[in-house]
Amino acid sequence: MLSTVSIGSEPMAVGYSISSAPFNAIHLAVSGNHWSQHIPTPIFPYFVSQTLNPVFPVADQIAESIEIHEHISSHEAYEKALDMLEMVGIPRERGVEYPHQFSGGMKQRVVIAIALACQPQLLIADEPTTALDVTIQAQVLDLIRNLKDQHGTSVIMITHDLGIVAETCDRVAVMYAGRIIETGTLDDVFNYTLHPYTEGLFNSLPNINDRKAELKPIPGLMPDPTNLPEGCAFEPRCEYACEACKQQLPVSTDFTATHQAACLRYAEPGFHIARGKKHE
Amino acid sequence: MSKTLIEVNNLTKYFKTSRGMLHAVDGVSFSIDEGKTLGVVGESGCGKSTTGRCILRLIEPTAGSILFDGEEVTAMNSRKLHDMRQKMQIIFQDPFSSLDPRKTVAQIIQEPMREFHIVPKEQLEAKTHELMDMVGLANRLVNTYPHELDGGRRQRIGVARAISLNPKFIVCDEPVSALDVSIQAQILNLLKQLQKEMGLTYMFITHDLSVVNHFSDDIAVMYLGKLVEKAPAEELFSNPVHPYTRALLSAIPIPEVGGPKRERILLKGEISSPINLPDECRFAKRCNYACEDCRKGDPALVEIKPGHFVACHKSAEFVL
Repeated sequence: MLSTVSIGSEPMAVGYSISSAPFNAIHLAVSGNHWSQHIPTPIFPYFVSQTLNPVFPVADQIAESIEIHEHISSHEAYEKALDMLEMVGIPRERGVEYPHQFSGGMKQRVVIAIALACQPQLLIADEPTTALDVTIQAQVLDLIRNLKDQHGTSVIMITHDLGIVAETCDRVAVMYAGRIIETGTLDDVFNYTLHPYTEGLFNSLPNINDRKAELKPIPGLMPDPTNLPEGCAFEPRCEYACEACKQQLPVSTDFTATHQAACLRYAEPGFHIARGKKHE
Repeated sequence: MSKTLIEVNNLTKYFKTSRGMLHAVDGVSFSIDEGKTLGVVGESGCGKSTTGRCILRLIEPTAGSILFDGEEVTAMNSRKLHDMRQKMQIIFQDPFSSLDPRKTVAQIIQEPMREFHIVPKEQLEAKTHELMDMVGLANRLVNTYPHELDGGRRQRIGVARAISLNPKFIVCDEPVSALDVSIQAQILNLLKQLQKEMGLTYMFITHDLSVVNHFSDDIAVMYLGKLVEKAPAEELFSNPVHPYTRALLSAIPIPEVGGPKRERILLKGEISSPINLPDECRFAKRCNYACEDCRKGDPALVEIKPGHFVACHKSAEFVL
């Protein structure tokens, strides 16, 4: 099972390999018409807000994707669409209603129903709960978790919320300026943090258990992606940066079998950032 | 003992819609002490922003009283209100739409100061630079336009504009929800530091509970136009009483792995429509503990411990 996350204000295209055919996530999103003919069902991108067509009832929109992928009659597809609605917790009768008649959380569930109608092997969830309230967010996350457990769907969860990562993901990849700078299991990245940027993200979050704790934001801003620094892209904002970081681009290094990070400072024996335990 | 700066009593705002009366804010009462922060949380559409805007009279309240420093805001005529606005300011949620795209940074920050003649004309420029230093904007940006700047910097302009009049009270309406995590922390730290330096009083409106816990002295939880619980931040997080507050707190995703497992309370359904409300507890439809009594009338806000107010028919059962 694959479950990954990328964090950072500029998430960029990542190539993932599914059924031995390499695909580019962003490419999939833009050329929607073509790829559906090439790949019957394995991948389904799923986006936040404004993804539903305002002039069609929701069940028609779900049925449309089933019809295209499964080559069944429109009547059968419509019946299946209503089943899908029920699965995400919306009564069948509401299938004839239009998107504006649903609340934000329900619209998001309709989008999930469309994405899952053809039982994809992989679901790409791009900030699925960003526009939602906490209680509704909890419902949507619960739904995604159930899918993962019951149908064995793999999920790429794209989010900036480390809390959501902790609750839904198995593996984590942290991105900065177009590169994955740290990747590992949930435990690796949260408890054995290696990269200074990951540490900075954690320090920027208010700690719910300690309200007096001070926030330590990462100073400065993301570099301009058209004009990245020669060395490590995080070097200008990094409190651990040294001379070498300015010139040399760090490559991803194995720390354990599951945990990789790209930081030059670890070349020095004994170096470790303030957060996180050391790997034994 | 600090003195009370804002006292809101029975604040009510109804909007007329084609389908009936929309109860945006329905009999909300609270007070904020000078130099303190009141955090207001709740789902979208529960009336948090409307409450904030009513206090500044950016929206005219339907009923209720608002005392600012002992003066009745709702009774003020337009000239009095104009002068009062110098003391109460607002920082808006969206730094992309709340700044005039055709004005430079300097013009945006100077506009309120010109309006209220805060400093003589010849000192305007120096004061602008001083304000920009205070909020951490580089002076070279003085002639740029908002579209040239990123969200964090734009929000700093919004903060500079709000503090340019030396206000006593600022309504922060979701000031960080449009920003990235690391930038969010920068702005929160800035607001805290300004509060210390200028003795500001904040009303901090947000839907992010971990932010509100970090930032506020007192927290008020709103549901469908009503205040359902209000308590000091520590008390509310350690001992929430209202079933809605408990569900909210349990739904916060915590960025920790391997910590103690938390019991998650999942709420059924969604916030119902605030139009033509029946006379029953507004949360009853989603409440896991609702019983017959809850359908009989809306519960009033009761003080169950000093400083801890709850509006729930069954609050006595939930108190430990």
